[in-house]
Amino acid sequence: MKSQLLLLVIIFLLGFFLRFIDVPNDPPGLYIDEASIGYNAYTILTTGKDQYGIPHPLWFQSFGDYKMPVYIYLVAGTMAIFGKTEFAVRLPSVIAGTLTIPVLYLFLQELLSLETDKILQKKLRYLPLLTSFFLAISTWHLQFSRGGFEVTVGTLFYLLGCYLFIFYKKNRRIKSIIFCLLSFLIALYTYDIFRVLSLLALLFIAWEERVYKNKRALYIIIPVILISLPLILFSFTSQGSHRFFATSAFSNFGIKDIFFQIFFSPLQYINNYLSFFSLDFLFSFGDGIGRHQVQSFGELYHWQLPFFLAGIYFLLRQRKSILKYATFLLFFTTPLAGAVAVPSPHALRSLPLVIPCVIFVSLGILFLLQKIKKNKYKVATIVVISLFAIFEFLLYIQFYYVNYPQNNVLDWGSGYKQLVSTVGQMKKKYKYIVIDSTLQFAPIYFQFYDSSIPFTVVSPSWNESNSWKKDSVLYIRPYFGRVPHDLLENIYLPVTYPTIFAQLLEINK
Amino acid sequence: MKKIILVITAIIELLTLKAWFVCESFTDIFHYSSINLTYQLEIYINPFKGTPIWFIRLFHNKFIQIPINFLRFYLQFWDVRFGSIWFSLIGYFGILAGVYYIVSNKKKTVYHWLVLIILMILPCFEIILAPQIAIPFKSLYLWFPFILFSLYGIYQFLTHGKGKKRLMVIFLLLLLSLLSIFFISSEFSRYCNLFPVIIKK
Repeated sequence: MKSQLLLLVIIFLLGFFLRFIDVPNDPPGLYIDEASIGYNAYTILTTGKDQYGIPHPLWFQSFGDYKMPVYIYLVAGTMAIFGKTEFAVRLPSVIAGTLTIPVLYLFLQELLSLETDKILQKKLRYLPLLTSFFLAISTWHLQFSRGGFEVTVGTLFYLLGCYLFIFYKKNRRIKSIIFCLLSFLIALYTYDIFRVLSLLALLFIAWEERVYKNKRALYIIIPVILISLPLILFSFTSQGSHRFFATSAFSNFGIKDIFFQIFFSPLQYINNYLSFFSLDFLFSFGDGIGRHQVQSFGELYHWQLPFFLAGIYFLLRQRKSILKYATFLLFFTTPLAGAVAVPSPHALRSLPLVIPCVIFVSLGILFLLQKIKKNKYKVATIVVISLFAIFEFLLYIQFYYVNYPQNNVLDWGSGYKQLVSTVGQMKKKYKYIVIDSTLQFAPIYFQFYDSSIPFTVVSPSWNESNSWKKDSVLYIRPYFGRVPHDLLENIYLPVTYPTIFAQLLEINK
Repeated sequence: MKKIILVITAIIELLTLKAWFVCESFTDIFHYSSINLTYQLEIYINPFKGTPIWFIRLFHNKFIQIPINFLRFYLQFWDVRFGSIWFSLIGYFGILAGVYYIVSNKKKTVYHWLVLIILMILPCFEIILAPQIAIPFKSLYLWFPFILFSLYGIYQFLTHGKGKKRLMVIFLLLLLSLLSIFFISSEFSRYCNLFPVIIKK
């Protein structure tokens, strides 16, 4: 047991190191949601209001959606210590990602302790350790733990809730169930997919514990309903459902086509749902979004594929195993929320799926090793697996730390960072700095990176207003397909159609 | 009852295949190309200016990249999104069930292994062969053997476990497969090059 704990500490430190190292610079620059989170957290910290002046809001208006509050308030906390920096924006995600490793260990320990089959329990005694290790080096989990993604924090609390529920099943302590429900409620207020997943988990707990037969349960049910009610009500408002309709897989069909609505929508949903289990998504291409993955890597390592399949097979063969039910429940419920949206599959909206996936991989390895009777063959198998694993891990590290910051600049916000820094150097030369409103994300980057730069946002039809004619103006606009005579510099921006790069023009020299 | 279900399944699978006859060929996502590989390697090694060449070659070489690429194309074939419209949803389910029952069979014979190996190898032909092969011909090696196996899988599924529950699952899958035939064309674009439309004057 002591050696297991020591190994867990080493895995934890490895996980932290991989998530922490060079995090302000890699991924390169804040992407728009991170910048928005960062600026809102900063205004909350300094003024107690969000960027639109609403005091301590529960939902933060952002670009095309309303953000959940937990991550923004956490960033406000880190900003109080580390200032308005990229590091502060990403730190809660780094910490949550690292903490998920020991929580997964505890979750699996508790699950195994509830197994009635003692032989299985003994066979799988290294499962928690091995799974925690695979989570620590998981490409999927690392990718999201290193960016300012709310889903990482949501996944931590969701898993913590699952662990505490299993803990409660074992010892029946009221404290456990209270903290379990609290964890699910925090996850609920962290990221959109947990509006569905946490609610499903809460309903599952209610059903599993048969709360309808227990009057005393009302003391717990009422506060849970009261806490989740604002979010449920908000979800039915136009602001709360805006994101759903913007990304919904069903929103592109006209209401007139009722035949399509009735028959095609369920098929579309099933198709989206199944896409999350696609081996092509899990092991090969990922979801194809540069911000969510490293080029040439899927969500799991290539070498894990046979063990993943073997793990599923192994679990299917078990009878009345709580590990089987819990893992498959996580596996099949996680994509339920993400499948309503497009594009599908989507690595961000299915991050909790990494948990059952790494469990399957670990089970597959343990299953294979148990099939091998002779020790020398066992050792040889471990050596061969390790060689493949180490090689692909090194390949990933090299891709992530060398290729990714260079090849995926356009997927992140380093272009905007460069724009702000360039304008910051020029600002003294100009009386006015004018930004074309087509560059809709530029203002938030200016506010985040250098709020001392005064700027005015103008419409695309702005035609060098007469009153400004006498003064020198720095005009920042998107690329219009030609090189004007007064061009100062071109700066490449993240791929946000139709803007490819910003042009800095000098008006009235 | 089982026989009737198997006949209905076969009919639905045939109808699903027939819907694919509007396609001239598969798109490139299944096909290996050495030009793509060279291009890919160039992108990978670009960020390493100034690094010793032996170090770059250790990670980025054809010896490593070809199997990775091959696996990518291979997995495209087993992708549930493709499988559910190429074999139909029930057909894909039958294949998975067939694999499960063969692997879990404690009295496996050499024939069981042979069937599995053949099924595993067949998609490789699609990766290596020219993409221009017409769909009806392609179906001989890429559809027909799998469908036979799928019917075996469904039969096994129905003969094991609780009959009523399993029948319900199969009925639901049959219904969804039947429905999806009407909408199959909306899923084609990723996999199929349609025949060019010739407008006569």
